[in-house]
Amino acid sequence: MLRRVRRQVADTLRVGAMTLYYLARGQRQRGAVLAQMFEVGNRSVVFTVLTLGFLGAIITLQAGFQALRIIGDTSLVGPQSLPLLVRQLGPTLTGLMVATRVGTGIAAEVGSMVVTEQVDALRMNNAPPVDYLIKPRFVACLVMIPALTVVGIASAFVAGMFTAQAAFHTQPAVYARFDVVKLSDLAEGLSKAVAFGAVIPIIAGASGLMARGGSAGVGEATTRAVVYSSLAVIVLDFVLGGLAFLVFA
Amino acid sequence: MIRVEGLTHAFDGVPALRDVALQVPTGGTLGLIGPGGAGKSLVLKALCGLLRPDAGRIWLDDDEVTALGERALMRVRAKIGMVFQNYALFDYLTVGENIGFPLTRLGDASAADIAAKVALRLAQVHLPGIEARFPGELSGGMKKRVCVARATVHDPPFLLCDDPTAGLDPVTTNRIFGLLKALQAEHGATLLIVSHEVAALAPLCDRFVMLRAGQVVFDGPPDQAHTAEDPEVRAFVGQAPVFAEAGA
Repeated sequence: MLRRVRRQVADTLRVGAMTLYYLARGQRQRGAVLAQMFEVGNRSVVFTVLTLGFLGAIITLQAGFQALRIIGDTSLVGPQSLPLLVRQLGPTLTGLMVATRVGTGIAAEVGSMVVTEQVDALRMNNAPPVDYLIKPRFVACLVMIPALTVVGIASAFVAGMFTAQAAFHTQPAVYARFDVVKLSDLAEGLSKAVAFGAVIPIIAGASGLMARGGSAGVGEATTRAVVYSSLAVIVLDFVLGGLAFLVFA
Repeated sequence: MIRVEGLTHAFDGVPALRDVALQVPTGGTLGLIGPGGAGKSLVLKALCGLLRPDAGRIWLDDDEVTALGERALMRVRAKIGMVFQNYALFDYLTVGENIGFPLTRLGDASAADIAAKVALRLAQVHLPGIEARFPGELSGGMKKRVCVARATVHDPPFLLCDDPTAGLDPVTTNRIFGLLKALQAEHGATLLIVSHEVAALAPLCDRFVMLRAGQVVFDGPPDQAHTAEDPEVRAFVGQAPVFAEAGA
């Protein structure tokens, strides 16, 4: 088990370093990044909006019930939940959703290319797999995960606002207090989204490139991708959250 | 010229190749035969640097493949056309894009030149006009012929074919072998074919090398394989019933 984890970490670091190298020195593929941006971004919008939207509604409901029980006033639910969404829940949950949807997709696609010798065929034709397969996905995730995070936060906030109005008769003007969001909240949220955008395709791509055997190997690679990507999102959330506290406190 | 000396490799301590040596002169054709799991595909992968052997040396002309790093191998691989056992066609690209792929990655040919060359190769493999189709829409025999077209489109001096007729009917098998020979004759490529279709392969080859359990057990002209001392070699080329030999 420990040996497998060590190998995954080593392969992920190697793929990460090679991705950075090919970003500077690799061949350009016309349209590849745009195609991946569509795959990562556009195809994840509905999933992200629904997941984060329901989450926003749940947070508002739970916070509202507690506020009513303790202080008898729900006017602070919106101003309290918005910074939390921007800094913490928005990026992390979007990261986890993308790790599940996009990470598994990358690992399955690359893994099946490995077991059907397509990756060998790439190497035979001057197309290093990290340059040809991982780099466009890396750039796409780096751009689209922060964009999806913004969409996710907006969905959660709007859903929460309507829930507050429906459940507690809180007016939108009371709920929507944007002045409570500080620059440090935005910086923390954005840095997390960018970090997740960088690690998810690298971990998923490395998992796919490590696939061996047939369809069982692809299945294992997919599982590894989602487990390690999700773990990385949580760990990075903790680390970047701690760093932000040290920097902005 | 292809030259292999002392090629040895093991997976998790289990030997897969043991001191394999073989040679194919420039423009020559070698048939690499042997039972499944003998290590034939591994030899091919080692030849193009897709497998780093534990020991041994490999030369393609003056390039020592086993001594080159990944970047230098890119240059050597440009001289190799490889027909993969499992087709290895890019399923997200059309047939035309698959065949043109080596030209787009290995050279600076214009789109018009690539399209013309793809059309010519498709005509040569008797599949004209299927550029826009995807590999998933083709039969096994058609995929193999597309593989041959992709492997030869850049006129490589070395052509390595890993079981190019696996699972195909005898007519298509003969057609593919004929095609390989014709393409070789056109450009004088050095050809190494792994196959189980020994009878169909024999007329194409100058020599047979037979592997068994990762070791060379026969190296000579195809007709000598019929009279080889090793009964398994004779059985493999269809001259002795292996069960009768084993029971004798």
